[in-house]
Amino acid sequence: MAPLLDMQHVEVSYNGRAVVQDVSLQMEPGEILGIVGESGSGKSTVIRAAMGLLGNGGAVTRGDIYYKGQNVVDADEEELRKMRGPAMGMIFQNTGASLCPIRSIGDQLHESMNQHEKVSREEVRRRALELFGRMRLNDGDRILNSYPFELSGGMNQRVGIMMAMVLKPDLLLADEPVSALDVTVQAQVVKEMMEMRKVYGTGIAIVTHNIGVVEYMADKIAVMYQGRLVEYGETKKVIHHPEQEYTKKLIGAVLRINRR
Amino acid sequence: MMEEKKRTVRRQKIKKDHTKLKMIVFGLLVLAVILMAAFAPYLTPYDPYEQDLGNALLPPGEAHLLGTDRYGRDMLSRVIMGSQSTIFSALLLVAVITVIGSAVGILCGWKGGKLDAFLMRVSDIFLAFPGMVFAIAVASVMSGGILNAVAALACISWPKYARIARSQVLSIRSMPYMAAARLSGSGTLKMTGKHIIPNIAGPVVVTAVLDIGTMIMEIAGLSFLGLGATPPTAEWGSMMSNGRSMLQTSPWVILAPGAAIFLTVMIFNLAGDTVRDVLDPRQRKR
Amino acid sequence: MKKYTGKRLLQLIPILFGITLLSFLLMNTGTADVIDVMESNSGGVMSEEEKDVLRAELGLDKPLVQQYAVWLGKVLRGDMGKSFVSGQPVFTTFLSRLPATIYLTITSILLTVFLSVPLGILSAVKQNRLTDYIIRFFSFIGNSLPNFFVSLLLIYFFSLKLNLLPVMGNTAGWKSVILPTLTLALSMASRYTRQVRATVLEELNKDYVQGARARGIKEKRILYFSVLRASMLTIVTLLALSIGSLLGGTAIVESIFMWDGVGKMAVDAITMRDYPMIQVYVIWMAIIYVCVNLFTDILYHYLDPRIRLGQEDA
Repeated sequence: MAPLLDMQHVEVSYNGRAVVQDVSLQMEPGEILGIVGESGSGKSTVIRAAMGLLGNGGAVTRGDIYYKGQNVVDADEEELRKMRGPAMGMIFQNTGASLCPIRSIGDQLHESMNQHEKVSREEVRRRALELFGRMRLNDGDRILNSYPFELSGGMNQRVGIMMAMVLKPDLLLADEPVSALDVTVQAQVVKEMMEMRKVYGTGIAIVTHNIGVVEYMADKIAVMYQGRLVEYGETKKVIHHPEQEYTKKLIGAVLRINRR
Repeated sequence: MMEEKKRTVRRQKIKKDHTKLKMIVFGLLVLAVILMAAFAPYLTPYDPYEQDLGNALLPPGEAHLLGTDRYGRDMLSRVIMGSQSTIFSALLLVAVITVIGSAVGILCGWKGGKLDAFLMRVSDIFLAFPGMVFAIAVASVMSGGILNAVAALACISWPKYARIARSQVLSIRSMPYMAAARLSGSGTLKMTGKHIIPNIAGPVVVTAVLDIGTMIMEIAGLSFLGLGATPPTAEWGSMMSNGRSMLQTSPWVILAPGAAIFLTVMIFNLAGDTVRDVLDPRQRKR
Repeated sequence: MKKYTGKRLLQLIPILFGITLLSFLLMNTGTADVIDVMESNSGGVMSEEEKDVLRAELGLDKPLVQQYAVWLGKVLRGDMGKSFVSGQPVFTTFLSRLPATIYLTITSILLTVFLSVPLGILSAVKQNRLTDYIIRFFSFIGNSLPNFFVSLLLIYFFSLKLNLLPVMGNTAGWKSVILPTLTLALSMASRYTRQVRATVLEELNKDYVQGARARGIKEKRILYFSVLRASMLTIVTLLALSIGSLLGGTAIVESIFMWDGVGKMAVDAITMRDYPMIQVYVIWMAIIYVCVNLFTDILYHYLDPRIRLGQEDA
């Protein structure tokens, strides 16, 4: 069987300038991959490329990306669109900003579900409440009737998880999903993502600069530095026996902070 | 080595950035226009004020490239000459409103309180008026003359600059480095010169450059209504106004100054857009 | 909301006070006074005694502040005064001119919206492609043409060369409104196309558009249901401001086409130093200004939940 996500020697360029070079990654179904690196290392670009969401002036200029054996880079826009949501879901650092500010969350949830399957409002609500229930949120109806700006950062991230998971994608791409949250809320959101994998068998690629989160969640770790993959392997091995100088420094820096 | 061959390579279309080239081309055009206005008296093929009733209303031809007006004055010479009054008064106007508007804005933003509230209400009142009608009122009170037209338009145009400068000052004022500068004992004047002016210069200059074209049109508009330049001064707006009755028989008396306004405004607008692209990169590629 | 509307209307008072006083002072600092203008207009010669009698009749012999106070007192009792020039009640004259201006406002705003909104959106969606360049080219041309030149060009081609439309006046039915409408709409549409484009582009570059794409929402749907809805706030505000300034009459266009609206009325009153007439106009302007602001505020209230739900963190 083809891997869930297969990146081969991917190079991403913005306006002719390569920002990601020669990145190769493989994810099996249900696997959690942590992509770490400092800001500007190209870690977010990698998962955006997987979704075909590089934005203005960005393109995969070398290599290929396959989702379950299907070429994502050369897929046409409509094919890709159909995959976004039901096949690949995405969580952003700030879900509040990734939603239209002048429309309610329920309205936008209904919109995104109906782009992929015909669902009644009642069904949308039922599925949303089921997911909220798993996250132990009991006032789902109030959340659905809210606008993004009315919710706290942590609540918005849960909404982000719910909106991505409601279409039951096999691959969840999370771009710094907990970086903007307080430590206690962080732990909760991380647990909820783990729960999603347990229940639905979703593979998760999580981009973060938080080594602690990755150590807790990920099966494999990819370390990026200046647009290149410098280390890639099992979490335990990368954390405890890093091969590269850069990885050692990255992990060392975290431990020093933790000791305080 | 073998693997390198198997990799897919895709060519990416790269948008070239022409801003530099544009800056040079439009900058030179603006310079050309300003030089034409400055040396207008030396460039005219004929005396723009000399009447020759025998050759009145000649259509464009070899002797008179743009024809002649009803007094037999050479249109080309008058258009060249007219550039002086129209363009220089527009530049003067923009300079005046930029300085006065920014000064008021800085004062308001810096001092705040009652003075700020009062001056902003005053600018509200000016903004409540439709600009042109107010300018007409001011100009007619001051009974014509191109400098009065400039003054009239200055009256209605400064509030825009005051608002821009004020909001910039307010946003800079709250920056930590301003507090630091204050703590280190910099006086108001020094702060204004060292921190505020360099910081508000960008948006103010962009607005000013983009305004030149508009102001050329407004000055010509007032002159067209007989409230700017007074005859026989060659000025594009009043030339068009004087030619109105001859629109059917001798359209060139209107087309020549009209086209001159159009071309000049376009050159200044093009240059203005480019300056904005350079100074305000956030707006680029819009 | 009611309370808010009331508060807004209360703000009208200082503005009215300010601009009527301002226009009063302005008109009186001039070199020529109304009597001299009337004299030169009538063609005859008046003796100084006759002038003084007329001055006393019009209340012009009193000090400026008193003149203003008298005028203000009358207005508060609902009497706007009579024109110095025609002797007609100014309010009646104003009302008779208003329909022409409203007519022209409606036609030119409609044409402007029909031209600029679709073109601006198209230009933004097709950013940096041929369609965009063509639209921007024409809006650039339109932006560089003064409207008195446009109106003369239109008169030249449509009325004089092709003989299709009347040159001026608003007496020839629907045909007479075409040229002034075209003149106003061309310059406004050029400006709006640029503004609509910039607004839509700004919205398109926001994170929520990328968010919607990540949820697999069709581009068209993102555009119509989110981007345009968010852009409408800005566009409608701009339109409201334009409607306001059009309702104030367009001095130049109304004069060129001899369109008997309030703009031409104001210009005529200004040249004649007809204070009561000018003051009616000034009051009208202040009312428009406040109404436009009120309208946009109410609109924001309904269109933007952030404001409706009291999250004005501006």
